[in-house]
Amino acid sequence: MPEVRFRFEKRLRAAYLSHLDVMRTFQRAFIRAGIRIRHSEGFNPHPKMSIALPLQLGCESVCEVLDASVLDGPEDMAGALNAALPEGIRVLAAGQPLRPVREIAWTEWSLRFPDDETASEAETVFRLPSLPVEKKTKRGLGTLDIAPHIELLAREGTELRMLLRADSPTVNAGDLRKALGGKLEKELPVRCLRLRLLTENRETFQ
Amino acid sequence: MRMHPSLEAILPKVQKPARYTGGEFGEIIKSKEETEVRFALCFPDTYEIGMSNLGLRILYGVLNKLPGVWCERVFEPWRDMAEAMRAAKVPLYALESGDPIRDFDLIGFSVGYEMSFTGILDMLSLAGIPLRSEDRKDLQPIVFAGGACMFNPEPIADFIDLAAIGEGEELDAELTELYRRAKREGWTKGEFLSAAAQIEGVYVPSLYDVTYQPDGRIASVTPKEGAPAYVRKRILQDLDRADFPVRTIIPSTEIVHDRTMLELFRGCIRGCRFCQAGYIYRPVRAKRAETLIRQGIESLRCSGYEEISLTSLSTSDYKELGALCDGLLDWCEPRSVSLSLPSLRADNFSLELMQRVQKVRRSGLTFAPEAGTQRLRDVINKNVTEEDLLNACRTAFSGGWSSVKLYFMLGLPTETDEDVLGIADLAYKVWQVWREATPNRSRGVRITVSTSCFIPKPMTPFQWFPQDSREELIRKQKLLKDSMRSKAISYSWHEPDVSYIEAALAVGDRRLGKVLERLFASSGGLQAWEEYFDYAAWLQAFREAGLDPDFYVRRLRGEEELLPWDVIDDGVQKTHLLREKHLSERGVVSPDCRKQCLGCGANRLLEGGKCDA
Ligand code: SF4
Repeated sequence: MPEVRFRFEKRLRAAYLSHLDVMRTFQRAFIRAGIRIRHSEGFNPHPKMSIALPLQLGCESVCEVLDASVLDGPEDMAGALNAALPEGIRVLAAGQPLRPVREIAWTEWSLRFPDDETASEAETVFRLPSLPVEKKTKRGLGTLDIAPHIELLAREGTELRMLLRADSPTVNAGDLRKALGGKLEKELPVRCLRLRLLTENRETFQ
Repeated sequence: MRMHPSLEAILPKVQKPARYTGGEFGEIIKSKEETEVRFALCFPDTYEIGMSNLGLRILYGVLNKLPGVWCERVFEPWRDMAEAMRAAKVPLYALESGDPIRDFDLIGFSVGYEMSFTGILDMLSLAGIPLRSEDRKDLQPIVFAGGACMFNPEPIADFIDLAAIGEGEELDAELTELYRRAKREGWTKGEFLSAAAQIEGVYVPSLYDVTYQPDGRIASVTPKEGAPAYVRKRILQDLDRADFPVRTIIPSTEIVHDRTMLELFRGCIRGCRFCQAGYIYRPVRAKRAETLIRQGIESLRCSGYEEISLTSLSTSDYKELGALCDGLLDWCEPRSVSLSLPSLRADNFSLELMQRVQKVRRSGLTFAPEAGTQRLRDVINKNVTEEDLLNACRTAFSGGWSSVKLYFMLGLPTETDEDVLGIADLAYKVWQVWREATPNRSRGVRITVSTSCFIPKPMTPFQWFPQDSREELIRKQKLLKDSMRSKAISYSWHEPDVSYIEAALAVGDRRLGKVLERLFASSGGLQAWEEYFDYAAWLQAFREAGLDPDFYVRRLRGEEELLPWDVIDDGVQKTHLLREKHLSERGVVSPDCRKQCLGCGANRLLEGGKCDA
């Protein structure tokens, strides 16, 4: 069997699992589900699998993507995996990848604020022409103006819908939090949910 | 889980929040409507440590098998989380339901390390439960403790309502059933405790009056309300047939021992005179290899773990080790699952076995000679000779190993500088053996010497002995450090400060309750962690409680003296411990249980009255 793409969601308590935790969890869930993954050669072999665009701790998502090199497994891989996964992680589909992961250009988000007022304040912030945030880069700590790389789609009550650049540069929910923190006085409990991965011309990535 | 609303704001800000959410694969969720008794299984240390504890996993499985009983896990939060919880008024909750444990019926702590005593106070305080037993008037909740530290429960006597002595599988279930009855029939807490004291293995500290002599030694211990004069520990008669949960919780986040653990046997045939585990878990009871192979494979299948570790006090003493490893490896090898064999002894080390195991993954080798000279090894009854050790190393080095760890203890009774220097000598000889035996000198070798400090532990022949002074231990560490003769040998040691406090807590009496209370007030929990261990605060807490730690740590206890833990009976007679103590003073060794039964008394715990060592 070739590469298999597992689309999964990461919700509720599972939002607090780190990227490494999720990798480890899948590694063991594959075994429990009877799905064999190809391992790398060498002294310290590890299973060939990768998760695109690691989520930040505390964020939820309904559009995670894990590609794995499957050797063999049961007919209904999604079903077998779901019986082997912890609460909050659920495989939505398992199938052939249609596009390579590098074609993911944007991510769509839902941000939920405690009340309308804060949501509207946040909206104002995200419409500012310039939003510098500190970011760790390969060359150390730098500043990135995220304003050109984010797009506000809509506000509905307490919820903001946004598009974030996925690649060069990558903007994530943490950057939005930082941008808000710099502009608003109060500390914000924002619920961040990743809804969709998109290609450059805004098609849903599958 | 119903998460406290404030948690959503807290969790993203603390280190490793996955420790506080529950929801792992294999956790047990029950319906609250059908639950009659809610049990909080508490571990007074972090999630990573607690989830690595096999005993905790076994009890979780056993208790949740009881209908109408829901057992959930609770760990001690790291400092950042504890502070955030206190600030946001989030009471300590159980991981499965998210419900505050102050509403639970039974709150049971598993305590395996004295330095985590303050964790009990930390957790009770975070839960909003009064710390002292006497301040909790109602039947709900009952706070109790079990685990190795309960062979001297006195230091925490003020805080617990009862202690469960020995193996918990049956005892905890009986206690839970008694509680269920008490709840149904509306008993008072006092009525429940009196009845509980009649269960074998239950010690209710408040039912014993302790008086002291003017010099601080115990004068008398008087049981009340029909409580037994001696509380005998509980054991499982037949380990092979005992319930072993093959389906356990698989943490999503990393823990310390992140692998399948298989317990080959309980107890130890050896009788090292300093070793508490070697005494309190007597007599030896083994599982059959066939059972273990089945349980091991099943556990691996259900867990998805890629490593299985054989855990017992002295793995290489397991009679069917060859058959067991063969059986497991037949399954493991084709699946790239590795098998690890910790706690091997140098005197029955098998290269053939290590090589089979190593095919899957090569691990380092560890030996524990404990003392540097034969004289001192005879004193402590560690029946391992220099020749055994060097032979084992030679075999390993010629088989391609290039790293070995050697564990020793400093400050053992009768130790002289010659014994200390003997450690350096032995390490050097190991290095020489490597030079002779290795097929590849250019790869180099790593020899790691670690020393811990001798701590007198209850229920051992060395329970009467004092610990060396701090200055003396530091001097010996320096002496040893300065006498290491090769760059390939590295040396690390335990801090004597921690060992000093640990010793006081190990052999302390119930007056230490005041010390723990004061220490907790000034420095909080997590005292087993270097980051938070506060030596000065401990000394201060002792002073404020009007106690001198030297009285416990630095004093040679009299053989006739009434010891704080004499009320607990682990099956081994005190006369046996004294005999062993006297032999040690003369440097005479004793044979192990397999060679010759020494009549320690532990056989009386078995239904047939005969040990199968
Ligand atoms: S009764 Fe004999 S064989 Fe049994 S544990 Fe004691 S010394 Fe060992």
